[in-house]
Amino acid sequence: MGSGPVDNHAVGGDVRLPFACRHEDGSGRADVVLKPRAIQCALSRICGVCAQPLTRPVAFVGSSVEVSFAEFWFPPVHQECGDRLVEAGRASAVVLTAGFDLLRPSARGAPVSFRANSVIESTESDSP
Amino acid sequence: MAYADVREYTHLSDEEVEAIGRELDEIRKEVEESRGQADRDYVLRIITLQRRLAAAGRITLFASMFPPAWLLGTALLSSAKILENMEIGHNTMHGQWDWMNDPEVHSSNWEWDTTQPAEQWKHSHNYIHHQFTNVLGHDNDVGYGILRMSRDQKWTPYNLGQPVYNALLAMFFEYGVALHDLDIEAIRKGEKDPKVLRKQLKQIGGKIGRQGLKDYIVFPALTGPAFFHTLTANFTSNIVRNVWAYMIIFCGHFPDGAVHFTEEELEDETRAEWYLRQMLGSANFEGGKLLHIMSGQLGYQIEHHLFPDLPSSRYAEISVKVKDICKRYDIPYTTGPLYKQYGQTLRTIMKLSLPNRRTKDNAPPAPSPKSRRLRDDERPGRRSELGRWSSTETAV
Repeated sequence: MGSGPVDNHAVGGDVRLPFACRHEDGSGRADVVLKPRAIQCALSRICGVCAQPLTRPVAFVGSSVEVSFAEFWFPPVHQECGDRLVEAGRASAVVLTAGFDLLRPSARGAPVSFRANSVIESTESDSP
Repeated sequence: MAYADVREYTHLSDEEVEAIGRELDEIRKEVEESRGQADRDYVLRIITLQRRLAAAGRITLFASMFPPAWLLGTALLSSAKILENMEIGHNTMHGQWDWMNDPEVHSSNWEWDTTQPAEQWKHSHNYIHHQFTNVLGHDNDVGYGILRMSRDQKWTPYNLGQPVYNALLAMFFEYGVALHDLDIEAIRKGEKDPKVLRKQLKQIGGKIGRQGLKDYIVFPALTGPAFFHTLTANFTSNIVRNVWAYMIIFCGHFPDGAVHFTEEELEDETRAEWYLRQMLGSANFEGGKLLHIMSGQLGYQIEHHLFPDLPSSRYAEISVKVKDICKRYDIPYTTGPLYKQYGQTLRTIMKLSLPNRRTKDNAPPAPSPKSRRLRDDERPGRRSELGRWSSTETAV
């Protein structure tokens, strides 16, 4: 068993949904993060795309607004998985961080989010 | 809904629950903003101490043919193993030190000196236990699938053997922990995905093999003629660590006053409600600084469950503020000396080996909840995440 990302998790087109968006039966939408999955990824420290153990540094993907606040809706991912999400047009930036905090919602029904607490590097995609 | 039970139990209004949440948020913010060099120095000092203890123990055991050396080496090695598992491994794997960006002291890299693979621990403990704390049928820590720990759990004649199972669990706790994420109940019912089971067993087998090779072949062999003495010292050190870890962990959720929950929709609780559930489901114990270090600061179990990813070295200062909140809002803050907390836990284990009709409930009476507690047969099925730390598709 490898400890890194597996090669069956790309997103978009005919490929699989990220783990964080996928129900147990395989259904789901690539633009909808499932709250239980997001919590599982954060606490079990597994990648939101491929569900394999995270490696250091941890990556977060999101929009430029998310980057500016260092707060993200999508759970932590491997750097490679994050790059694939950006390539697939699902995110515009990748932020690398050593650690992160899980932010539980203050209102019922609201999603969880993640705060990168020790940012190492931030890369924004040129494409719109 | 158990949340309604909790609110009734603690007599808090929605506004009070939210106010508690804001106060706890403020505590978290203060620690996050002041997290820095002093915390880094603390954990690096503990790691250095642990390594010196381990080295001193291993070296002393070269003379393990002599009883005093055997005793001293075993004591040093036991202390090193306890420190590594409790204060370093457990807390590092929670991500408490990730912010340091240290390649070694990071949740993704740490592999601890026990038989459970770190990867499975992060699922069974960090996620299942900390997310579904004390929720019957969800949290495998409630009796480790072996012991009946709540009167709400159905009694069967199997439970008559609890005193024996408990003693065996304490002695061989690392193996109980190693099998923790397999979800024995699902295996028994034939509901476990064979692919996932094979993957987990392979990983556990590999870790047990490496641990056995280290403690029972390589290190004893290095001591040459003292091989068997070193082997017994290593075995004893593992047993000492097992019994200690078992006692500390059981004192975290089973003394009188720690609440068990039955809840269907845990994911939809607010942060404040989550805080409340963690506070009511956990129990502390009192003691000196050394006791807290050797127990991985789990004497501050309430604070650990509120803030599992904040540095353990801060729990003592956090506990003062949390205790004050509990006092002001009239919320139980369960604590006591270690002997008392474990005594209550042990009494519960013994009592619950018998059917409810044969024993008396020690829990303080709770006001009637808005919705009654569910019986075993009314409770929802076990969570699908149990026993699978990754998706089925990734099991290879």
